[in-house]
Amino acid sequence: MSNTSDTPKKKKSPGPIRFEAIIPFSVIVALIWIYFALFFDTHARLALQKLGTDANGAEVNIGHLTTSFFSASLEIRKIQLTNPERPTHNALEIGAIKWKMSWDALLRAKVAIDEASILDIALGTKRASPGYVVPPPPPSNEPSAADKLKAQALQAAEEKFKQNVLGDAAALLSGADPSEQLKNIQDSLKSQVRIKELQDELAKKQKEWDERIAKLPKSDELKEIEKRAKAIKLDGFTNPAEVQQSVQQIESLVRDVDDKVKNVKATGDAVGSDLKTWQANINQLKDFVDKDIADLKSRFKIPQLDAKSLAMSIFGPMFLGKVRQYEAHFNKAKEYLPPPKTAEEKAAFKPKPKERSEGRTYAFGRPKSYPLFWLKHAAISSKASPEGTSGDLKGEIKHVSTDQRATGHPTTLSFEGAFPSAKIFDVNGQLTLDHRSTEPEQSLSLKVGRFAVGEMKLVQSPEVNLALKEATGASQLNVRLKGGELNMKLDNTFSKVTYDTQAQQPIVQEILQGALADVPTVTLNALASGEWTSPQFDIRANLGEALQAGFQKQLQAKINEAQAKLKALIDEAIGKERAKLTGEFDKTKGELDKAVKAKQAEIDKLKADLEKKKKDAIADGQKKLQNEGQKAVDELKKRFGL
Amino acid sequence: MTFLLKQIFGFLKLLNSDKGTNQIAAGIACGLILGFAPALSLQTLLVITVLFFFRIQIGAATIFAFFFSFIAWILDPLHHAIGQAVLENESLTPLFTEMYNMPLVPLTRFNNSIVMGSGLVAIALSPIVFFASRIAIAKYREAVVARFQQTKFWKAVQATSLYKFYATYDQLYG
Repeated sequence: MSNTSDTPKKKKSPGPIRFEAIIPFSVIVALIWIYFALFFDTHARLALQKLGTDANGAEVNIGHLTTSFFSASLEIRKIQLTNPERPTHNALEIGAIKWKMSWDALLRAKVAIDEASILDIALGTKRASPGYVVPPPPPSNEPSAADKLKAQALQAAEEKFKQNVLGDAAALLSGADPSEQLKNIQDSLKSQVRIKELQDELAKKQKEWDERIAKLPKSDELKEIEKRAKAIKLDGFTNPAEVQQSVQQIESLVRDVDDKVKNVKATGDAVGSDLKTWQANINQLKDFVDKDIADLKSRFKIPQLDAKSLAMSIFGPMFLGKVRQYEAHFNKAKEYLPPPKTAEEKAAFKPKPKERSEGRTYAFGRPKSYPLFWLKHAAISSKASPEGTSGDLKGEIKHVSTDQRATGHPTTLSFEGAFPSAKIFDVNGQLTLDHRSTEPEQSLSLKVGRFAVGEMKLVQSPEVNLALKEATGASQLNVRLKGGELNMKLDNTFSKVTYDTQAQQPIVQEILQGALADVPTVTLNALASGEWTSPQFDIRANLGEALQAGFQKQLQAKINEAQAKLKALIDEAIGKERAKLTGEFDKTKGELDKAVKAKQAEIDKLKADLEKKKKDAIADGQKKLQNEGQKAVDELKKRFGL
Repeated sequence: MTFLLKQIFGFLKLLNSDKGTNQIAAGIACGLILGFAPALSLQTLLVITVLFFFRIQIGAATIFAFFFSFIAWILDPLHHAIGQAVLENESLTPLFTEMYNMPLVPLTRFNNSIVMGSGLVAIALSPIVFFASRIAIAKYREAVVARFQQTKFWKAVQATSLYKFYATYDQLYG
């Protein structure tokens, strides 16, 4: 039996390289590489589509996306941004976006693009299938106070613009007499409700005032003081002690009277203040009456036939739509380009202290720093395609970044060109988003030299429809948002206008046609300015002036008559009650004034009497003392034989 | 954690065997660099990569990294002084400025006096620690392991069936 077969084989000594770890590691690296080579582009495309859809509020499609690891480049082709208001069409279509990232930034875990190009831009192209529109987000459970006020202000403006002045005017012309309807309205009058409230309150107040007056010092009490004053010795003093005693007694009575004076004064002041408040309430009734008149004018559709109101009614909804649109866009920009943190926000983030000694950290110049994303420059270039969808556009985007303070530059976009297929010419735009300070500033200047206007509905109501059938437009829009302040100015000109008017009443149709015949060019100047919480709208249009002139002859008399009837009706409804209330108040006021003044006079007189008595007593005492002194001196002189 | 415990047991086993002297010594030298470097830094990552790719005793590196981090804490004033002297050396400023503006390099935090000082000390001491460890291991094996193996207690343990089973298992699957 040999021992050689039992000897265990000596294990081969492993080399210095750990292959059992390197091989699985290499497999993992290979799998990652395969993922990036085969699937990453698709996944990145889908992720961008999702993000884009959320940001745009409607479906965003990306035709093709290619990335290259070694050249750190990205190419995106056929980007379609659905128009949320018209899902069958794209708001914007971009043929291709190409960019090359900087490896220097990538090694610092940042994306910096030195140069990019955006090619073949088209507006309003038709989509193969309608795009998905993201439903509006549900209102936040706890919107900020500023957001609430902003929403309320815009809602109020919307309500104001909803008034169909032209339709109301047409209805009035058709023979409807609103004053006929003004019956049985008394119960809904705010002024009348207020008068009733005031009457009830006045009754309660009168009781309160009566109680106060009753607490004033009674005449008996004052007479008692007078009686006590008379009992005090005021002359025939035999020694200074008697004088002092009398003065002390008078002073005690004066103090009693002073307490009563204070009481009367306090009552007088309190009642006076109440009366002032009540006088203001009575005066306020006029405002209630004015509001009632305005409400009834609105309820019975009595139009405000002035050029401004007409312009507001015709162009207001369109302008407000634009204000809302830009507000949403700029809010979105704020979300993606957040302004720097305030000192308080920075203080809230405190890093944990290090356990080891910190040593000293040296800075060798300013290290190259990049924001998380930085597109330094992108050239926009587009040539009109033979299919006619693309536009001729030239422009540039500069410094799109997630941290403008780090780059030191605001984001700017400038472009000029035309979209012949959409009949849009001489386009020139400048957009600046400056979020470098805690109070972001955003501005847009957009000029369109010439564009074709299709059917533009201006007024739609059962009584009258007014639309621009065809026109050539020119537009200049300037928007500036700084902090909570808005300034938006829109100047539009529509020339070569063809109108489309339809009215139920032939007379209205006639007036409309007559008025519009003299307006071949429509000018619109709209301005929204002020704080977001209370924006001021000013809309002027020559169309409003023309319509005012056209309708005024026929309508103004009717409107004036209806307004006068309204006023008379309200006066009739509340006049008696109002006069009664005013009368009651005036009577109460007079009585209160009289009572307080009488009591004041009575007490003042008593106090004056006491003061006089005190003076007399002191004077009498002094005289007595002088006489006594003189007598003593004379006697001394006599004794010494002087 | 299981991986770490396995490495530590492997270290103890290797230390008490007659092989792997260089692996252990290299592990101790790497432990010195790890212990002296800040926990989250590029140099830590680099040493871990080296440990991963080369047959260096990870258990030894882990135990000694823990041990040397205490030494580093005690020596921090010295590290600060050395680092300060180097970083304030004007002739090196252009080099540091270049490094400061390079990508990735600032992740080493070389511009901190303690990191620079402890890094330099670790680099300077690592070859010394490597060779000193080799000598210490050899001495340990002669003076402790060999003597222990001659004891009656150890011979009695070796004679048990449990030990024989373990020895066979270790030989086959070790």
